[in-house]
Amino acid sequence: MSDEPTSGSPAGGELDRRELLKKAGQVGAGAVAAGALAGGATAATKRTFATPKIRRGGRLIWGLESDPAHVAPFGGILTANHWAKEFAYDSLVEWDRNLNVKPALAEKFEIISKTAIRWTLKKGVKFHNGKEVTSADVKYSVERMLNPPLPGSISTVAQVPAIDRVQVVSKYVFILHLRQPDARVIGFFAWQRYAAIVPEGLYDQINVARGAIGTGPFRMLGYEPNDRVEYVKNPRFWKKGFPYMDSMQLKILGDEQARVAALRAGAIDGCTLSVDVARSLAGDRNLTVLKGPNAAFRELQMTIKTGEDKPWHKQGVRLAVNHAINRADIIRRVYSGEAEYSGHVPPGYGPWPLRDKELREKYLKFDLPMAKKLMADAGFARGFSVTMTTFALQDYPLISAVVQSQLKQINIDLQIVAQEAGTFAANNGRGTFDWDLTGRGMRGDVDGYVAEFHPAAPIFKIWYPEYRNVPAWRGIGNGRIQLDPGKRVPIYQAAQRQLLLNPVQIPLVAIKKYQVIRKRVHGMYVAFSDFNTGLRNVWLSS
Amino acid sequence: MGGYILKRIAFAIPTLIVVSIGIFLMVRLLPGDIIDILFGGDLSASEEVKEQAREQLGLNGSYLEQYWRWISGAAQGDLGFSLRSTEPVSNVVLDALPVTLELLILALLIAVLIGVPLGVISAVKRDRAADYAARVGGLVGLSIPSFWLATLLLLFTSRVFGWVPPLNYVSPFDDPIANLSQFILPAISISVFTMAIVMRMVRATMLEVLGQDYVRTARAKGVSRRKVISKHALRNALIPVITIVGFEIGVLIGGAAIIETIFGLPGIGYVLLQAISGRDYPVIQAMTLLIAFTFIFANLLVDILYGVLDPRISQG
Repeated sequence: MSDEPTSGSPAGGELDRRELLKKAGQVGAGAVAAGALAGGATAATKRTFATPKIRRGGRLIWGLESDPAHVAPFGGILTANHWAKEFAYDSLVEWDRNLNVKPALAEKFEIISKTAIRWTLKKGVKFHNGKEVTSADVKYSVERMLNPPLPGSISTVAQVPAIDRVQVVSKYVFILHLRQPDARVIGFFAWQRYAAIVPEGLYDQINVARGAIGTGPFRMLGYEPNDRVEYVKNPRFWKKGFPYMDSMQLKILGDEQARVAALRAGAIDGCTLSVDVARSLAGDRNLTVLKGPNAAFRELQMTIKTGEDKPWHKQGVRLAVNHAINRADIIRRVYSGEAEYSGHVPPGYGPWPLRDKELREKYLKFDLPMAKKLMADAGFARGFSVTMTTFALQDYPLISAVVQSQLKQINIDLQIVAQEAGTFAANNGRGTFDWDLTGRGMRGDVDGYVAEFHPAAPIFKIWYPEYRNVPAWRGIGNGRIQLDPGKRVPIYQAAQRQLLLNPVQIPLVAIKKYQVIRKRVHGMYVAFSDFNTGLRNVWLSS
Repeated sequence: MGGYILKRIAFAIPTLIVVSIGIFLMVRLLPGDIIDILFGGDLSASEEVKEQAREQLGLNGSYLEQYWRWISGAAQGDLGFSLRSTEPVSNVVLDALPVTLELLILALLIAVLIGVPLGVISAVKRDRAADYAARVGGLVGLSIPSFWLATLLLLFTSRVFGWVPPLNYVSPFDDPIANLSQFILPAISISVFTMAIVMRMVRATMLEVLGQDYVRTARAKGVSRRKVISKHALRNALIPVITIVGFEIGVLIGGAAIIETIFGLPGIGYVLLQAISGRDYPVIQAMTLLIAFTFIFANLLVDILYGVLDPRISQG
């Protein structure tokens, strides 16, 4: 998970999965869905080192790659929106660093029917303004998740599970009613990105675009657009003893070399950097390079549209492409060995992904003779030409070039068109492409990684209305309404296998994320979720 | 002179209108709008939700309607709201403007205060070591891309001195020293090209002027060499330099976008780049219009200065 030689995981006081399940189990007969995303993640590596004495106080400056545009709690589109606000707000539950669900503002929850979950809030948790968190606040917050006011965008509503309403039972107890059974609820709250709990009437009290009132470890002093976000310690934070630091600044530094210079000069304490740049800093005695698995995996996606007759409309051709791609070669040439095989659910995402061995030896096996035979059987032994669009940034052009050279071996003439992010997004969203080399991101629930292959997803009709995969569809449909996490894992793994046997999106590799910190920073880790969650528990040695 | 200025202003208005139409259309001809960006990672959003979002952001209606809404609002000082932050665009502009203005003024000062004397020395010491040095320096200045110099300066000072300019914007009125230390590297980075142009222009015009009859006459009359250069030659040599400086303001604004990003300065250029990648139409339109206005205004100023330095021009 991390290069940092410390076991200083200062998350004491949290419940582990077993305790959480026990606690949730205390509430009667309902099926308990706690730990929906629990399970061993690849990231969980324990090391034993002498733990240095934790020092309190100090101020940390963290470099952010981009501007959040606003810090409103609901409807934030950009990842940077959550980077900026994640220390001010909490939700009902949270993930630990291994994506195990932990109680946060809620003490426990109980699934009382397929469409109702009873939640009990912790008593005495206070917002930054001193007001206690109650069910009325949750009701107010959930209503805004379902219909985010400006400056949020209603486009985030699609990320919200089938929540119907909140029924306030008492000051600390409420029932979350769903429109239909939807297992994504717990992950949605644990992810926290769109699920902050705010005090009732927040939008009438402050300018939520520039300020925040939450329950998080730090109280936001303000956000200066294109410049910085200032935080001070929340002395009333509900996790006793946290946070360690007195204050924190998130400084927006869009240019990577500016972040490197600031890091070297000690003007910032840490930031995210690209692989090569981070590795070039490994020899600096003042810096520590951290790395960890990341939700963003790369994939090759195709369209299968009505009225078209393209070679890849044949399953055999798509399988040939899958087996002609040498992922080990991509990992070596593009990522210097620092990447992994990935299925449709990336490695590190709790218990949901397929095992690496299974991917390497079966579903994503590099097998050129088989690929050539599949092409010949499909009537395309002499290959074909196709245009593949991709982002004109980061590793995308490079990985595209490697894929291009690999597919040449089965006579596919790949024309690469690298596009600016906005242009790419437009073409991708409208389905005006043949092949795309793109990336995926974090999802609140495993369903988010596979829902697009189900005909019920609006994008399905745009990207591949002629795609048929009934076994996968059945799994995806059942998985969403199955509230027992133990039963969900095999369902989604089976669906992933079906998607790899009849692929329409071909997963390539899962990349690693790099962050570089100054030596005085302790307890930081690279969060799989792409957020900077580790900063909540960081302490500074000088 | 008053009539001349009024005439120039009258010419500026249609120019600005044409520019505003150009900006409006160009922004909309970019592939993909903010709805595509907003829903980029969301594969489950229906067309209805997208349409709702379009309405929420005021992107409904024909281009003509949208243009009229924007331009009539702008004429009354209402530039609309940022599509990403919903901040009034006028606030976004007012926050960013002082940063860029200061950067431009500092860069121009550096370019002129160093470029003009270097050009004079180069002309006066023609074909001597100082001239060669200045000419080589000028060529280097023309050849170095400002973004490369900025990155180099930043990495050099951080590596060698363990120092980078202060990260947070400090107003010159609050702390002039901190402000200067924040702006000096960006200003140097952005000014080098203009400085080289100014130096070369001053050298060329000075060489021309120094060979003129009236300069020879002044010398023959026994006027000191220093006085001939500063009073007779330089004043006339500065006329084309002023034109160049007017044009260079446009170059500097363009360069500022990259330099502000590198140094994390929240100025017009930085905000504009962010807005372009986010397809934030009202911010792009306002910032571009502001840049166009600045360019037109700077050239108007140049024309007026021209008239002051050479009365024949305004009379003509």
